[in-house]
Amino acid sequence: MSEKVRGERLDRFSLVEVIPAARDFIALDEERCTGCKACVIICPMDLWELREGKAVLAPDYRDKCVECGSCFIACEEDAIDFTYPPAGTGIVYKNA
Amino acid sequence: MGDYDLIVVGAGPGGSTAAMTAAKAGMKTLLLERSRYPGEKNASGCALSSKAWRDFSCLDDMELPSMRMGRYCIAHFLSPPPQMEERFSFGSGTSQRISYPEGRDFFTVSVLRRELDQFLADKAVEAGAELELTSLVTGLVRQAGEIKGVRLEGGEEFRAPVVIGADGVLSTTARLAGLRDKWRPDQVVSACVVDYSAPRERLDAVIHEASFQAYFSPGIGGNFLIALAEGLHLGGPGVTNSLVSRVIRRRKKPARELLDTLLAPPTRRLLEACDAAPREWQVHLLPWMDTMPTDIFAGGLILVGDAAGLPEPLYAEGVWQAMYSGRLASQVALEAVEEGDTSASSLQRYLHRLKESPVGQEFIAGRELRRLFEMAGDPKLFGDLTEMIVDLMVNMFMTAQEPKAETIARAFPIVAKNLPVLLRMAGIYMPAMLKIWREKLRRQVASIKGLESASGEIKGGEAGP
Repeated sequence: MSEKVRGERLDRFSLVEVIPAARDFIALDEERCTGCKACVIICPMDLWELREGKAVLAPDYRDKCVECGSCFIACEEDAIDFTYPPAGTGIVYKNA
Repeated sequence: MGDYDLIVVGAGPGGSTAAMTAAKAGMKTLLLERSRYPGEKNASGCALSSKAWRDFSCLDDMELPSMRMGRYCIAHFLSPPPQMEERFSFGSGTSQRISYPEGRDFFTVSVLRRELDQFLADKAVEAGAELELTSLVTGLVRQAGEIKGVRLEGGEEFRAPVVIGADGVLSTTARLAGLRDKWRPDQVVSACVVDYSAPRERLDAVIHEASFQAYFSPGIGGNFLIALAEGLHLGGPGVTNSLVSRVIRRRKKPARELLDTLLAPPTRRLLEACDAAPREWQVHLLPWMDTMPTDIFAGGLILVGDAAGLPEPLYAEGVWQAMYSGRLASQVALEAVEEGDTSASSLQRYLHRLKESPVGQEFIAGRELRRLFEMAGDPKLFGDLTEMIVDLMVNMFMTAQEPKAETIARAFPIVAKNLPVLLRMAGIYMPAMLKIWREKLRRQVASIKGLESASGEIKGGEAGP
């Protein structure tokens, strides 16, 4: 089996193009966060992690986020807010 | 600051169809899109159903480089992980019972959303709509409780008596209007896709017109494969396992699950045969409802497509639904503007018409249809079902291993052994069919009543209810 089709070698980050947004578009309300990990599980780019019982968003998420909004939907505590990044920035899909 | 008859937020298939319809009818229409070009942000919906050609003549001249015809569908049923080898597959061409000619000719046409969305936006512009790109709506203009326009991030305002929200699953307009903050986790699917490049000759030789295929495996649900002219999409996990509420409950990352199951030997062999190489990673949320949402309009606002939660309850197909609801929304907007009443009670006719339309009909027995698909997430049931079909096929038709009389007679014990599985299937199918028949009957009675009242009106008699 040739290397190139192998899924386990697939590097998601090299397969997306993101124009970094100049402002934040995801916000976490730490007071509301219960550390349930829903965001950590759902994020297709692994941009959330749990630190000391609270969700933490990767500091460079603006370079990597694909704007799916999964974390926003998955958070049943309404601790995560998601709005679109500024017009003309963010994920660029060429072959979708 | 500008004044329009209609503002459409989002230049996807729903928004562009709405803008095209309105502009054609003479409305001064503004179409706003947050990205740099239509289709830049859309990562799903590249298999367009033949229904779109039935309903939209604007597609008649559509010839786009990425298009591949889908005249044959294949469902592959694999053994459970980790083996995931092919157990049986079912392939089929179109049925001659389908009620319209395009449906008898093909199932779907695969097309890149980047091309389809641009094509439809061009149609809207040709019809006279103004398209404004890189325009992010962040506020609504209100007047006497009704929505009367939008505000862009830069502060610029545009006014119109009706705004159509075609801004997708995370609809900003729905949120700003207070219709909802967001869909619930059990109403949304998180679909991941690996896009591969592949030479056209290889795809022509290996896949040809079998451009839509699904790979089912007990406990995994169905990964799907959509072949384009020069590339293919492998997506998953199946809607059951990518339903956000289910992901949280199972605590299994959907992206990881897709990447793990992409390695199923049959898909590997196919990718190899097509000389495919990964090109793009795409993720998108899809609304997946079992009943048609009703909170899809407000005074001066109509929601269409994913913003209205209209993808159908079996596979979450949504592009045709977006186009259909987009056109209907513009027709309603035109009537309301002409009547000078764009209040919520005036725009409510959109909901009624949508419910009675083919888009609404897709939700008949939606709960049962969704349960049918959820079965694929039950490893035991789905595994038993797969093996029962294999047993029946092999012993009744494909046997050369033992005397035919011996194997054919096994049909009865096979069915008897699987009676519990079949009963569970029937437990889903039967109520679904009863609901569908009852609804068909209701519609027929309603249409007869409608005819009576219509003829009553013509005769000058009293109109029925």
